[in-house]
Amino acid sequence: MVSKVSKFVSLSIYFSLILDIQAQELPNDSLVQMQWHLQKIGAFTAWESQKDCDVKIAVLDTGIDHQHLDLKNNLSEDHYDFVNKNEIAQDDHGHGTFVAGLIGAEANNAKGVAGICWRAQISSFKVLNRNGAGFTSDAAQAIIAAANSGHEILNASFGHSPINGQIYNQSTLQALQYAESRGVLFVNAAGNSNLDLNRLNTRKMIVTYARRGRRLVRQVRYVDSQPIIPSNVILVGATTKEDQRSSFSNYGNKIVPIAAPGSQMISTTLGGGYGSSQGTSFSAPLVSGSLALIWTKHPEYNFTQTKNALYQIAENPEVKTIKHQTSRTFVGWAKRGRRWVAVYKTTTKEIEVSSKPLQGFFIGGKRLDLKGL
Amino acid sequence: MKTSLLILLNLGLLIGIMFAWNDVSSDEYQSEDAPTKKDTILPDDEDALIEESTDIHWTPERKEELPRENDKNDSLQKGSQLQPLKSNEPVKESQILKKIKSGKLIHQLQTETDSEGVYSMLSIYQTDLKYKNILVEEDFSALEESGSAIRSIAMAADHLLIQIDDGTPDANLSQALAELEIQLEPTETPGLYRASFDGSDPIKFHETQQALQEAPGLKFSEPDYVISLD
Repeated sequence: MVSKVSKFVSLSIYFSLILDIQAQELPNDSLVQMQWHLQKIGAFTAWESQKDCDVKIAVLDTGIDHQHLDLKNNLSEDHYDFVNKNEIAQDDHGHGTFVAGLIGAEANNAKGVAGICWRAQISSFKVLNRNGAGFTSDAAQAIIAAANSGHEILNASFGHSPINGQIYNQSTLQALQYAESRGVLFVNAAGNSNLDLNRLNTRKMIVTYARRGRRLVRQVRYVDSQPIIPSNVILVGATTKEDQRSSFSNYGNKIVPIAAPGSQMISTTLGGGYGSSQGTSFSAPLVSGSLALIWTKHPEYNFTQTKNALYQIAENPEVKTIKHQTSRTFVGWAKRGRRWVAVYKTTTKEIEVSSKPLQGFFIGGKRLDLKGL
Repeated sequence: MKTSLLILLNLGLLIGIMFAWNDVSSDEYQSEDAPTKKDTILPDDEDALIEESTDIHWTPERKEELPRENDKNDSLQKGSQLQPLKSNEPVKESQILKKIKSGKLIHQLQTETDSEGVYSMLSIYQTDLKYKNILVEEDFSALEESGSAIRSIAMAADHLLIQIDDGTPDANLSQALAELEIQLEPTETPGLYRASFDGSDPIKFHETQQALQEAPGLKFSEPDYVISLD
C-alpha cells in the first residue's frame, strides 16, 4: 500500500514537472531535452523574459567552426587567429566550437542544440592551437584586442593554473586590468585539477639557476604574494546533475564565486555534429551566456551591476543526504576459548542530513540559476 | 548421597547458566548487529577487544561524495600545462607537457641536488608550437621514488615578455638590450614587448632574465608561459 502511494506521488510529481516544462517556452531543437543543464539553471523560465543576446561575446579558445549550421547565424564578423595570424580563426581542435554552442547555438531552428542565447554575436579569438596549447602573450593580446573591438564579455577556458601562487601571470593580469578599465567582463573556467584555490601559496617561490665553475646550482628564494583577481573576472566551477561539485573542478570561495553545470554536457562539435564532454570549460560559457542575457535585458547596467545581478539570482541548492551513525554499547563478557572478551552491541542509525553541497566551495554555495531573471 | 546429588545438581545448574550466558552474548554479538568492517569500529582481533573501552564510538562522517567514475574529463579536456606547486609530491604530467617532451631534445642540463633534496632538469625541446623552442623546467625530489616531477613549467625558450615603464625603450634601455643581443617586437598590449634572443641554452635564458630584471626602465620581465585547455 505504502509503495503504491509513493509510486502515485512520484508519478504525480513527474507529470507535474513535465507539464511545467511544457508550459514554458521550449525551443524545437532536436537535442534540447538532453541538455539537462538548461532545465537545471532555469533557462526555460528565463527565456520567457529574455532569449536573445545583444551583447558581443568573444570566445578566446581554439577557434570556432564557422560552417557549423547551428552556429554560423550567431557568429559576428570579428575574428582573429593569434596562432596562425589570420582573420578566420577556424577551429582545428573542437573545444572552441563546443564552448560557442553552449553560449549561443541557434535555438528554435529545429536543429541540434540550443545555446543560452537564442540569437547572439559570437566572435572567435583563437589563442590555442590544434593541440589546445598556446602562449600567455597571445592570451594577453587577445584580451586587449577583444576589449578594443567592442566585446563586452570574454569567455576563456585556457590554463591559469597557479604560477607561484598567482592565478594569472603579469602580462595576462595587465591585459585583464585593461579590460576592466573598459568595462569588459572576463569569464574563465576555474580549472580541472580538483584544487582548493583558497590554499594558493602566499609565498612566491623564485627559482634561478647559475653556473659555479663546472657546477650548475639551483637557487630558491621566497617573496610574499597574494593572488590578484581583477573585479571584472569571474572564475567558474563545475557541478553535476545532482548539484554536487564535479570531482575535477577547482574550488575555493575566495577565488571561485560561482559554479554551473559542467558534467555530461552536450553541445556542437567540429565538423557540424554534436557531442558530449565535461569540464569547467563548459561551465564558463553558461555563465557568459547568462551574463549576456542579463546585460541585454538591462543595457543600463555596468559590468559590476551585471555581475552582481547574476550572483543575486544564483541559487543555493539544498540536498538531502542519508548519513549512517553507528554506536556500540558494552553488553558483558564472554569466553572465547581460553580468553574472556568484551561483547558489544552495535546499532546503526540512518539520519537524514540537509546539506548545502556547494557551501565551502563557492560563496554562499551559489550555483548559476536564471529563474529570477 | 543426597548432599552429593544436590552439589552435582547445583554444579550442573551453574554450568548451564554459564553456557546460557555465553550463548545469549554470542547471539547478541552475531545476530543483532554483527559488526562489519564497513559500519563499525570494532576490531577483528579479540585480544584488542578485551582492551577496548566501553565508550560509544561513532563512525567518521563522510566528508564529501567520492568522485564518480564518469566525472573524469573526456578527450576534449587537455589538462593544464602549468602545474601548481603543492609540496614535494609528484604532479601529474599533462597531455601538453607529454606532447612537448615528445619533440626533439635540443639541450638538457641537470642541477646539483640542493639542501632540500631537490634538483632541477632544464630541457629545451623543438616543437610544432607557434614558438618552436620550448624550455621545460622540472623539479624532482631525490626522495621521491616514482621519479615523477614535483613541479613542471613550460615556456618559450627564445624570448621573454617585458613591460616598459614609459611604453617605449629609452636610450639607456636600448643600450642594455643591445648588449644582451636582444631584439624587441611590440605586442598588442601597450608597452609590452617580446624580447627575443637565442633560444637554445637554458642557462642563457635565465641569465638574460636576471639581466633584464636589473635593466633600467622596465616594469617587469617574465617568461611567455605555455597555456593549455584547463
